[in-house]
Amino acid sequence: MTIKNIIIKNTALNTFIWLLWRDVRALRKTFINQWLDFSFLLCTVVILNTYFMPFMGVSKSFGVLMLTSQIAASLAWVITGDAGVWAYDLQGSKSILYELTLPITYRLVYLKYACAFAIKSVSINLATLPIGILLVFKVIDFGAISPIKFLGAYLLSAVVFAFFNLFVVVLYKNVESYNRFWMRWGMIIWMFSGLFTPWAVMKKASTLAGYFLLLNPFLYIYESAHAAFMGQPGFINFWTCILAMLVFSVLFMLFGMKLFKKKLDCV
Amino acid sequence: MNFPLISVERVSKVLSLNKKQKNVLKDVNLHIDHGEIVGLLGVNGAGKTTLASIIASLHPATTGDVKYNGVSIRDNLIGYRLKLGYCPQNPNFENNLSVRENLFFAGRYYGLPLETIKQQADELMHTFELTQYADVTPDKLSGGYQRRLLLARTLMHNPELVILDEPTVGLDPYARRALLDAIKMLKTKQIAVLLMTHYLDEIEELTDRVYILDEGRVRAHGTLAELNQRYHTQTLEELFFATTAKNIDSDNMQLDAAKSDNQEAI
Repeated sequence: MTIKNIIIKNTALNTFIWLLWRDVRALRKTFINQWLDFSFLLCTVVILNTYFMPFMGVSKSFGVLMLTSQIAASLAWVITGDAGVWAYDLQGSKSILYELTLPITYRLVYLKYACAFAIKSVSINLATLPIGILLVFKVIDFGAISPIKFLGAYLLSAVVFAFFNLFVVVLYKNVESYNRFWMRWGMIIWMFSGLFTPWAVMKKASTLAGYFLLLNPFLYIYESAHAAFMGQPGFINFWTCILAMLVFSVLFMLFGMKLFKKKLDCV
Repeated sequence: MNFPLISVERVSKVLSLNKKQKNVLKDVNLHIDHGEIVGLLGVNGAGKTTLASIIASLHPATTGDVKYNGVSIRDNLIGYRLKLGYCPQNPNFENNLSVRENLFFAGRYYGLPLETIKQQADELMHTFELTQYADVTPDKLSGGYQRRLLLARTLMHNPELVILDEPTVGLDPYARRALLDAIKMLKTKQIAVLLMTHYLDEIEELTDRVYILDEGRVRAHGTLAELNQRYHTQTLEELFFATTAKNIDSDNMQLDAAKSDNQEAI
């Protein structure tokens, strides 16, 4: 590699880092409000499932399962919202064109969006976790929690959601199609992802459906979060989930970048 | 050998519109010399924005090439972009950051040192009378000041070429005058400019040479004096009407002149 190439690569990397830092800096203006939004949502879900649902015969530990699910689901909510704004921008004012004239490659611009979406959603939602833990303090099994595994799975989950959403945005023609995807297909993928019921339970109900659901990328997000927070028994092996998430991330990233280049006809 | 700063060589662009292929640029040749202001004129849909976006390295040409100092921009895309400033028609700032922060980041993207960024941002804010709005977010600025900020941001890294896409659209006369003076100032700094506008007086006032684009082809190019002489016209308006589609088909002489223009530019 020549010195010229090294300088050019560093320039592109420098631009990538500063674009990303700009997006993180911009987050400070909206952070408190978004943290409050998701805290209220988390409290509602956890209180309902921990203190009300048991009167319908549901186990109290269901609240812990839903706490973990909701923390991961909120990741998707933040990213889906941001990706929607991005889709709207691609269709309308195309402010991304400024970034595409900077000394950076289109692949790094795409990657920057994924990283920015992931960092934003993780920082907002991870900050709601202490409130959730306080709400289930009496029923939670602290011995089953593996903080390192949970954090790792959580970060990777945000990356999967980010690449998935970017992929859907560039796959569809416009914002309307993107929204329709979520209403028609996205919700099905989400609901059958282990959000409410572990995969083992779904497989018990229907073996065929269970195996079919292994194709669902979101399944590994919830299963890994549950395994890291509630202990391995009853969930898909944690490391299998990590591997699956890595594979899905790479696939969505590669196909997404290809579609992104085609959609924007960029150099 | 002295190369022009930018040379567009036989560039064509085919776009798919509603599943139909449309040739929006046909064999276009154009060059911009160091420190020169070049105007790009044409009716809506003539291909101006497509051509500018190809020069800005946003989109690839279907055929042909764009060269920077004699080297294809594809061979050194990042290096080319370090010397390029693209000022789009619509403001696209980060509205969660202040005017100063937007300029700060614009400098950072190009790897400028912090001290240079501070100095450059202060100078540009002073030049464009933005100092009083340094801590305001761009969405709070009027249209005229947003355009000034766009130009200031474009100049943060001292580009060699600035592409201005209709910079004065929708501005009041005062704001427009301020922006035109700022564009004139670029020439004194030896910054080349590709100016796209529908305002003929801006072309007359600012540019050294003009290209008239119509239906994806360069119909005429040269200095205004040369073109008026060639087409037997008195004003840019007459020249524009004489060289664009509605008249060109009925005047073979003009078409020939346009063809010879295109050949000369190769």
